Amino acid sequence: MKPIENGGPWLGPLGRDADVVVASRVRLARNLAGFPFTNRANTAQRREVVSMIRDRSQGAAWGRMLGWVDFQACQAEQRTQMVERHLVSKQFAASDAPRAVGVSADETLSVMVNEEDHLRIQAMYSGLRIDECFAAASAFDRGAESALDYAWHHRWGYLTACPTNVGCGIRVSVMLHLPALRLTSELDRVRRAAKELHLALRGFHGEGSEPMGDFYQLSNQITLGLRDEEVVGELRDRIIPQVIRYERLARETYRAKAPGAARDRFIRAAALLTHARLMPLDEAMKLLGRLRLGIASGLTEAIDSTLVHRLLLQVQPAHLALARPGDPLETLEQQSAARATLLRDALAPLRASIG
Amino acid sequence: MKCDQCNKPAVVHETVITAGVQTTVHLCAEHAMMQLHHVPASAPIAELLAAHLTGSRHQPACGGCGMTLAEFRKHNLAGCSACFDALSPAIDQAIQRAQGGAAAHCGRAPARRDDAEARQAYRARLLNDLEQAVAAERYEVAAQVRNALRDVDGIAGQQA
Repeated sequence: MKPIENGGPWLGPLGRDADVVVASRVRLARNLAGFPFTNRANTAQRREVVSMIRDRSQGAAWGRMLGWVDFQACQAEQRTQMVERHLVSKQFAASDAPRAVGVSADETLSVMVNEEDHLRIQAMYSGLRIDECFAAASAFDRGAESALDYAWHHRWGYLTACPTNVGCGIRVSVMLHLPALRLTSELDRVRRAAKELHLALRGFHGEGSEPMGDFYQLSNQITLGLRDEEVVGELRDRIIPQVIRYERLARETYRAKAPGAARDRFIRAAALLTHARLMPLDEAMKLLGRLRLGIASGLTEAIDSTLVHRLLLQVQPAHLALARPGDPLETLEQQSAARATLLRDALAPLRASIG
Repeated sequence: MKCDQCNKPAVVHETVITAGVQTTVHLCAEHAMMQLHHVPASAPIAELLAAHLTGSRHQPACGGCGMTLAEFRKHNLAGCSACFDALSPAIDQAIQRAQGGAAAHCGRAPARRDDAEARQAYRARLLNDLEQAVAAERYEVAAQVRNALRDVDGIAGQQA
């Protein structure tokens, strides 16, 4: 795995509506005809699926951009690092069966083989760029379709192991930063509205994860009876803009009601991040979230959100450990100390500006 | 759909095959619970149904991968492509429940996979679904089925 500075789609230039939207992602679930799904396949069949997909994509224009990582041969920290970078799911990293992931050099495209489905094609970009994600994932999908026989059913469309993905197999998710909606206790309303619209609001790492630093993923739940363009269009044109409006309104309301408090929260977060000697992960995420809100509100020009995004990754345990070869962070305290040092160094310009 | 035993909306739909004759039972939550009164009331409904079904009836299994209905219900995962026909209609209900009642796929299909015979059978089934949806005044479902029909006819049109 390359050093973090080189890659990471959401570390790039800030996309559209970056005050609220961190990143967009589109994932397509596909299976190969003629093989049992991953949960029912034996080791030999799983190996065959890996080599078939890898070999056919490596030789073709549509798949040549992927570098393949054999997950069985991967060390635990590298696996975790890929989870932290949203390149693979937690479930994928935890399994011991034959599986592989193909990742493009800029990490915008990643293809998991033998996750819950044989193929999980995902594309990710910073900001609100669902169309680009869909285009990138679709390009690979169409290429793969020309070279592989997909599992397909006349009634249910693209077949997937879980009934929640059959049909077009698409999951559009947008990572949002919603601190003001939480502060003004409006988040539950958003959650209820999302549920009614068959959308899921989840934590930082998607399914089964806790919200950290007020970062959430909003994604579609329905994949049947809708064209993938409809799923994309609904989120892009209707739902996400609405959530962005709510969050901006909540930020304004909060600032207007308590301008001193908004500034104070930012300064306190900055002070802790630039002075603390021990920094646990959850606290780091929370404070970085407050920093991001301060930047979006124009409270500082000393740093920008791209730095915050990079730090959100670098403070994660596997990233911390892999950045310090030969210095095993054996205890939580050592890990907290390393995290605090990293943050103090990276945020030095901020320390100077808050005086 | 109303409960077979009262006028409340049915929430449990169970297809039973006895001596080769297929019947479908529709029950409201209350009557479904009454039929299952020997199972602790605190157990989740899926477990109740699984216990009920495994305890009393023959389990269909998928010829492709051996998956039984009980296994499917336990993990909510199909084992292979053949499960979608072998475990029907139970799997149909699971899909429709997970998908907000949606009745069929519409939109893109893999260009390489087309089978005229399967498509005709599917078309006939869709027409039947459309008729039922209209009769039941489920217009949202009907619209979806109509879209699926257009897709099927679209594929046929392209090939003609």
